[in-house]
Amino acid sequence: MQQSAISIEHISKTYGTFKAVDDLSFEVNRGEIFAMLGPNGAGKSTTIRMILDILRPDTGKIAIFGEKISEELKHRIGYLPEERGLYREVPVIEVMTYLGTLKGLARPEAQKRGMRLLEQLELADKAKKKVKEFSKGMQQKVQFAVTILHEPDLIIVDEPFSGLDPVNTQLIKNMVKELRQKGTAIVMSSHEMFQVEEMADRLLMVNRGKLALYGAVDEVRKQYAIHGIIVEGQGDWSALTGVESVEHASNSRNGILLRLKPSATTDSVLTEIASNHAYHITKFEQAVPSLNDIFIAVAGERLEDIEAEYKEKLSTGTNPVVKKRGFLGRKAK
Amino acid sequence: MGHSFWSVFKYELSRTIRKKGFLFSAFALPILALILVAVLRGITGNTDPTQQLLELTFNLEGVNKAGNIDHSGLFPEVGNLAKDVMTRFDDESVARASLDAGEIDVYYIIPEDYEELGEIQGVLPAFSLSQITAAPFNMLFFSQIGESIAQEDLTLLGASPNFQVNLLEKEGTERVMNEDDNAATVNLFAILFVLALFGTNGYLMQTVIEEKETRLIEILLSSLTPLALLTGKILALGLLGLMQLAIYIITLLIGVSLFGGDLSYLSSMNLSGGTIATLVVYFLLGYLLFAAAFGAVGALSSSISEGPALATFFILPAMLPLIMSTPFAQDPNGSTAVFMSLFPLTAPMAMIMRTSITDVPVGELALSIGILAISVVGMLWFAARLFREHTLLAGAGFKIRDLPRLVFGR
Repeated sequence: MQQSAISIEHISKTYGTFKAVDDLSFEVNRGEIFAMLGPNGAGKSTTIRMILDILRPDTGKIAIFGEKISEELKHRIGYLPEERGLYREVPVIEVMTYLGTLKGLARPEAQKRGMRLLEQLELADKAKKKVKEFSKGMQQKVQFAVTILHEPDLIIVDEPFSGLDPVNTQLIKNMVKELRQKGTAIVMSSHEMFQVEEMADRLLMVNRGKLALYGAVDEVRKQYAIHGIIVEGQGDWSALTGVESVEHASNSRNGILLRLKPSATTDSVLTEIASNHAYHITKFEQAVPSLNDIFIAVAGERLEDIEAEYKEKLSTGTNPVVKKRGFLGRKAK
Repeated sequence: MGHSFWSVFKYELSRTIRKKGFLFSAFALPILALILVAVLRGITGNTDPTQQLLELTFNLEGVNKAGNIDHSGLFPEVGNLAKDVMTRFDDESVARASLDAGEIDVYYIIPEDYEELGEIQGVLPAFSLSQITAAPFNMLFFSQIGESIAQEDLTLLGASPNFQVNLLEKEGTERVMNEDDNAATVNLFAILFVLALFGTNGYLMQTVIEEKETRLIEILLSSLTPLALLTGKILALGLLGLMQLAIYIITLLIGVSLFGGDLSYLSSMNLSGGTIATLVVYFLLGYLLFAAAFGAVGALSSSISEGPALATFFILPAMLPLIMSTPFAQDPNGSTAVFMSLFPLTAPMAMIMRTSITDVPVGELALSIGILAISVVGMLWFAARLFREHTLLAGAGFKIRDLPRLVFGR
């Protein structure tokens, strides 16, 4: 059985003089949640549209389940775009049935599956209501249902949790995880880094159309780990022998980032804290950055470029508006 | 493409047929028209079919004075009914001189075999629809042989003769055309064409814009090809357009049977098989061309209000031959007419008008159909390319300079 759900080799796409995607290569495996990350305008949507054959790459190759995209293959893909909608004047079950038939289902089967999904999403009693009568969150759930109605082997969801309350977010998350267990390949594009961190197995981060990060989520985080620990509590942290500097941890309200001397280890610092009654700690963890921090760091490189361009354009000496964000910690006052 | 195409076709058919706008224009509008006619008839009190037929028979339209040259011997006198309109001439050269001098608007030549064949010829200085009428002759006819017959019986004789018109506008050339064929064919085609353009293709444009506005288009394009989506819509709405036309024609027939009216010109149309085939070919190719064009307009429009404005770029050329009908009819083989017959956007209307009034060379006809067919394919491709590229940019204003990028992806 072919392991790879999506195989992309050196694809590029240019609009006029703007290179939206630049020599991008990656693979998505069956039975995994694959996160596609990047700042706005980085080329994620263009890449997704090329995977779906809505746009054609200028160069490079795309294979879905080892084959070139075709109508039959499209029937094995479910897609939830970021900007989405349904016919407003049409009953929900009718829209679902129609979109199911476009994916190769017979009409009665599409209707049956549509009703089953609406029941699962607690919307069965509203099946005959028009789309325009649904709240934004309810429409969002229907759109997700449409994406998986034909039981695809690959689903591509762009910002799947936007507009959902925590309860419904959990409902959709559970359904996505269930699909992963069944072997479905899931490509998820999201700016909600904590969701990605929680759910994704591997990730791709694109920046200015190019591959910036690619690999297992844990591995990527480890790559960005620094020699330090994050603590919460009380005490004179700078007095510890193994500590080189003290900063506020950017990803925590009360956390303190302790950068360690090269000779110090996490264990030796913890031992010193535990043996000294002048210190009291409520939290202790390795300084592995969150995906959010990594995202900001990678996207920040882009901002730095914009800043340089901005400075060049403004020869008046005005202070730049854009500033690069720090990575993980900032200087403690 | 097959399965998805049929899904789109069936869905668009079932969705549009339930739309209030379509239900109104297809069913309510003809009923309202019937009611309006009934009310107007009630106000005028004119419901006597005999009286109506008499009015039609003797409607002089744009003719004030007419002449006749009688070779049959059946009309020795002008008679009371026609005396204010008709002048008798013994010689055609005298009638021609009178016509050239502007003393008469038209003269009729009644041949020797009139009694046998029932045919006469009308001679006009130039093409003028309002002067192509047999009413002065009808007056002469009733004056001479109708005095001893009751008016009600006379109408049953079918007074209008088989009538041919000679135009003298070009020295040395005379074109013969049949009044009924011309007026009925051109008008009928124009009405059908306009209904198809403004009606069903308008719905097509609306559905495309709706899919853009709701952002559903991206989901649709991830399921099927732009061409399958577009052709599914075109054929579904085309079928509904034909259904709508059928309802209008049935309503017209019901109206005539209820309230009276003269449809005899339709039944007496003498269209050759070739002309009918030409009409059908141009109607279908024209419909497909403009349907694809309206699809492209839908793809380019960022809102429902923007669509109709962009659509006028296609509607105006389509209607141009009809707007220019008089100069067109005066010189149907002139360079303007030939150009309009070859240019795809004007060809459907131009060619059907030309084939009604003149013999179009077969080679030119083939060239025109060939160009039109290629244009249909090209327009479908163009619209499908815009579906692929531009529809995703919903909300962005359309600029002509963007077209190459939108179509070719660069």
